[in-house]
Amino acid sequence: MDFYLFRFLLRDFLRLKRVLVWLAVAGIVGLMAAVYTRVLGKNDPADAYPMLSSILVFRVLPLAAAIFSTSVVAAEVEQKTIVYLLTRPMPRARILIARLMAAIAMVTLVGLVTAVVVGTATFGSLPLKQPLFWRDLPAIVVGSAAYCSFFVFLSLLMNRSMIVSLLYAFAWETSIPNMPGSMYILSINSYLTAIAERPATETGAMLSFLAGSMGVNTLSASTAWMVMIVTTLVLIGISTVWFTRFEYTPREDAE
Amino acid sequence: MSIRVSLKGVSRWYGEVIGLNDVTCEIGPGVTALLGMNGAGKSTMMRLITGQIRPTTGEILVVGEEPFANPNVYRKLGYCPEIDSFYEHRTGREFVYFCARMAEFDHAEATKRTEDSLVAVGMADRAGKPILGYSKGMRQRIKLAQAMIHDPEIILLDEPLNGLDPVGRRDYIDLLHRLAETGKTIVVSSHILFEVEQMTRSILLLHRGRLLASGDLTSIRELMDRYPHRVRIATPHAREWARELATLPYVVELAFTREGLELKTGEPDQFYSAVPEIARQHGLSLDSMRSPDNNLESIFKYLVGGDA
Repeated sequence: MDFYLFRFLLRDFLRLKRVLVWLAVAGIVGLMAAVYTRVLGKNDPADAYPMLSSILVFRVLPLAAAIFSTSVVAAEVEQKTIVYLLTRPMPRARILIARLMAAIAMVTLVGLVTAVVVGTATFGSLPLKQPLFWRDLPAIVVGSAAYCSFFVFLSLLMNRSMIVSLLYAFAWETSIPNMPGSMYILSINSYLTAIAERPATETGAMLSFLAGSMGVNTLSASTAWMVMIVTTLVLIGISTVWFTRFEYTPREDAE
Repeated sequence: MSIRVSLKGVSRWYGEVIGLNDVTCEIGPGVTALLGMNGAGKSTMMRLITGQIRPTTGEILVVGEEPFANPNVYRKLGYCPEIDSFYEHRTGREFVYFCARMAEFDHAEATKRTEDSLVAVGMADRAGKPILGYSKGMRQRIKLAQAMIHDPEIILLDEPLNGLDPVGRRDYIDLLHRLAETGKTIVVSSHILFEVEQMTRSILLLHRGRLLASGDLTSIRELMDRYPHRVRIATPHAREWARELATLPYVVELAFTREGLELKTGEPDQFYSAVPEIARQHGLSLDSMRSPDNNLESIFKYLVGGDA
């Protein structure tokens, strides 16, 4: 991996405008958590947190992944700056991996900040002593890597992949874990739930649906870890080979 | 001449549209111009040589290797694309430094090369501002700086003079000549004939994806001169000019227009030499003199038999 290229993209992600947008997202999400637990007076915080984390933190995660993954290759193609990356004596694999790692780091950061905000809003103070919060953290890291790898792979396969990524992030990831039978294994979110060892909570049908807890998730944490690591590595491997072999030229510029 | 770039029977299709059609040529050190109208296949050829795309058929070798995604080739090749896209919020200096780091130089070397390149293109004192606010000319200079950053043997410049003012053009062309004198291979694409004439005599003429002619521009010029060459003169003294010009043996046709005269000559060089003398001898003035044939379209008409 090339650390300069990693830092270059990460610096781009950390531009003030972008940071403010994501802080605003985290703020809105925190406000929703506070309204649910305090204003509506719902549940014990320890019961509310797993559900709020599932609905809020683990929805922001694929949303951020869809957006930041687009910057890895697709945005360079759209903005026609891809030419400056691909006519340099740096192997394409190194370029892709460095930029993918920057996206994963940024999505992880967004996920962690959102988790802290939601945890603070739910528990009424920094959630640093809450085991539920700490169990979410590895799931956020693994989820960032898995979502980014998947969305980058999609962006290498198709034009305007962000629409597909957003559909996956919201429609697929919300509905598939609620499906009967073993359909839930097709959702990254199901594995993240298993990694976080999130307990089932009793809520209304709508919230259960949004939290993806209507189906029966029998995945063990160890299985979920293994599947996520293998899936992520395979996706990175395929993406690297794909990016090395296929043409990426500035969009709408071919004669 | 050592061959740095060679194309053998190269064709490139975009779906059902052909971008380049069975092109065979070799390019060595010095400045070579890739001349053709918009859509002729110049950018396709540039992309093929720079390894951004692969040929559908045929073979391309750059410094003896296939260029597609080949870091060995990119160590010896610098590319200045036609597209005017940058990381707009970055400064010119940051952008050129980024390109140096992408060429695998460490921080110290990249910093030094960045400053050297910026000085070479005359941007050292203006590169500290975000690219967003740059003029077209400044953008062209920054693009050239990034192409030169790793001191490549081969530099490809896609329509590099677009947007440059006359002084900027002169400086840019001088810089290209200096680079060529150091033994570098420079390929410049352009659709403007007079630009190319200032840069080189060696051309590759592309038309509708085909290599129509290659070699010295003079031979193309001579080919043009076999045909009557039209000249338009705007003058308030059309009658007087007509009287004098009609006596010249190489003026084969003459007609009055609203601005003055339009004539055809079989010997354009002699004709252009005679005009100032006539003006001086007879005290005649003219507002402008130009040839509608002195452009690429005309060359194509001559070369393809009127089907430009």
